[in-house]
Amino acid sequence: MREPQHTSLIIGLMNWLTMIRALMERDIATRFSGGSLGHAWAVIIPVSWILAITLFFRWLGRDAPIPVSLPVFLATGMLPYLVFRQIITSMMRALKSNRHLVTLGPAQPEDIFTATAALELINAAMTAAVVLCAAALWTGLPGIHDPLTAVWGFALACGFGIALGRFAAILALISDSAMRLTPIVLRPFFWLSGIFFVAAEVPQWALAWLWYNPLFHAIEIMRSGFFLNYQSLFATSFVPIIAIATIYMASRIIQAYVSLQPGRGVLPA
Amino acid sequence: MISLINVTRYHGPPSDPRFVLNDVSLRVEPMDRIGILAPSGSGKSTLARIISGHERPDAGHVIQRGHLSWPMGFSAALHPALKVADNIATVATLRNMDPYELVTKVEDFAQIGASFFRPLSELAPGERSQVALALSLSVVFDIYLADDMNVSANPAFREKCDAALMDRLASAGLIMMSRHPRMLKAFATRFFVLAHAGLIECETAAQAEDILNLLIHEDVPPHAIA
Repeated sequence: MREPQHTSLIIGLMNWLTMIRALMERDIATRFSGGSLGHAWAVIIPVSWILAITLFFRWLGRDAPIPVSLPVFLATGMLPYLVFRQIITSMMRALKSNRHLVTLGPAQPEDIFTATAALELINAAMTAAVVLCAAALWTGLPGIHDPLTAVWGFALACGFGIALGRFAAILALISDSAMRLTPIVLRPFFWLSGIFFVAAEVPQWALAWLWYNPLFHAIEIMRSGFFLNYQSLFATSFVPIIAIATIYMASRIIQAYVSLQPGRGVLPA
Repeated sequence: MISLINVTRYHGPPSDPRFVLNDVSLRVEPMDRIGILAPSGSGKSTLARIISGHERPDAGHVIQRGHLSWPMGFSAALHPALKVADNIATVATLRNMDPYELVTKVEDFAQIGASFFRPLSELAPGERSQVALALSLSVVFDIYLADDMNVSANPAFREKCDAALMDRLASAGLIMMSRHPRMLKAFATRFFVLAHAGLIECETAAQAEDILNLLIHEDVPPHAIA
């Protein structure tokens, strides 16, 4: 007797989720192997970065450009930036390091991308929780003004990282140069995404250029949701959403083109 | 069923191609046992990758139905930092099998003792190859693919693998590519020679061996064989 269609769909979904979980567990076990702190490094590294930048600004005697505490201001910029960069790095690494796994089946490149992105989102949520708790303990966080907007800004930064990471991972399979060039191309995001400044203090001519930076919009939206006394008149969700959709589609087109080339297959060798 | 229709694969520019496979056709029915005798560098691995869909040919088509195994003894997908048992459990979960059952089966088969619970990187090459073979033979497929199957140095284990493969072949097909006629004689019922980018069907393993000698050592051109 055949199973009803909805039952087989549910079973298929459960099997797929089990496979994604297995890929995530494998990633955790292999990426953080060899150290006693294990998976905790996924949180320790970004938290250390944020702490180091905050101490550096304190040492310089700089204040936040808006009337909020410096550690929290920097954390709301550094956190989406570091998560964005980490997602890109992980997605590029995942496809290369798991390419032989595809031979064993049935995991496909899309499953590897999904598992990597899901794990990075979990890491991002854990890092955000640790950073915000630490900032609250340090400076007495007054509470998040509009949590939904803040989470939306953070999600846009993650989404931009996933789309760009997927794009870079596919390019890296075609050319080693793409793999090496990606960190260089991404370097300006550190300086041009509003980690250390807000749109209100940027000259108009510079804002006209920065408008094309989706990460700047995401960080401005996150801060608008985070701080009661800051509303970005510059940021719009439109730019990150269009960037995510465009880059994702471009990566699919390149992937389809590459897999049709002689010598390539399910996953380019 | 697997069907290769006029498959061509070459390296270099189309104006000056170095053919690895030139207009190769092959049809493998579900219970067929194909033995392909091929010297080193003749394109065995390319053919295996094309059959399994991991490499696209320059021309021709590949049709694949049913579950084709990964190349038997393939160990690159096992992570060196993970314990052998964890590697096997991951493969089981990915393939929607019972991890405990597969781990137990591979542990019994591989016979590497305590090494089974050590990271793969700490295993001797022989132990690693035993694990990879044990894993391939512990999963049920419709057709098994063997690309110069890594043969263990341990004669007892080799016999065990031969028996297990024979057992599997009671309900599955085989595509075996090897430079060792002994392997093909033991398992295959249809024989081919892969040389000079072509696939020549032979009636027996001995004939395949003779043809390969003519092609490679006597330098007889392939069209003269026909």
